[in-house]
Amino acid sequence: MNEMVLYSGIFLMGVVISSFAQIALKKTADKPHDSFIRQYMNFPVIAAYTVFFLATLLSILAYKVIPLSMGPVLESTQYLFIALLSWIFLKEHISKRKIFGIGIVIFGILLYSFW
Amino acid sequence: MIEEERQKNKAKYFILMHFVLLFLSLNAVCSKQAAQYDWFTFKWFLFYGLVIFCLGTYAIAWQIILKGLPLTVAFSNKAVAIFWGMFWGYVLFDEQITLKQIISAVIILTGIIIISTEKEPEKAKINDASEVEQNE
Repeated sequence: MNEMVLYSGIFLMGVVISSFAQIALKKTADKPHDSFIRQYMNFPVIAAYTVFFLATLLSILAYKVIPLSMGPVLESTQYLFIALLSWIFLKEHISKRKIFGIGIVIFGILLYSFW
Repeated sequence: MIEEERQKNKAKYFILMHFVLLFLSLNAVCSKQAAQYDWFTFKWFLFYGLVIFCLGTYAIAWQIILKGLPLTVAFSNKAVAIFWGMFWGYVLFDEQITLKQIISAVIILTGIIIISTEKEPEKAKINDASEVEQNE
């Protein structure tokens, strides 16, 4: 059981760092760029894709213990992380409807994991 | 007639989207398979290569899907990954799938649909404008 929690944590870490990378991509996408190439070849974009790459390695590490059926369930936490990070870094508003939806997702994930 | 054509086109994109999502689910299958081997061995590299291939192909295909379908439809349908994960886990890795898990998955799916079908005020305006344009 403890091992399961640890490896689920590793999987979630991948989801968290990917969410940070998504925010970085969104931030650079909103900025004007000198050229088409510059739009892709800049530090935040390269860093974001490096992070996505690292996240794939974390998920392989986690799948050593967690079942395949559990992966996409844990991945659903990205709705929470993206909303939180967008609120913090992009000053995006989180509507009541979104909070309600995220609550249901989290409730479902907890049910899936512990019921 | 034009309306009929548009509906047909949408249906085509919808089916294509689900093929793409099925394909994307294989990325998790390859990750799980890679996890069975020691790191940096030939088989590990083989399955990890497939993971990257799946993700790369998906990224390109998803851009095409987004051209043909509204973002809300695309994002809420993405949640089907949960069911593919359960299906492949059961079929390929002998995982136990319980009724409780299926019920929990339906709850997660409901939450995702609530989140992704929300229309933002500005976006709603843009969508309405593009619909007017298309009707014209």
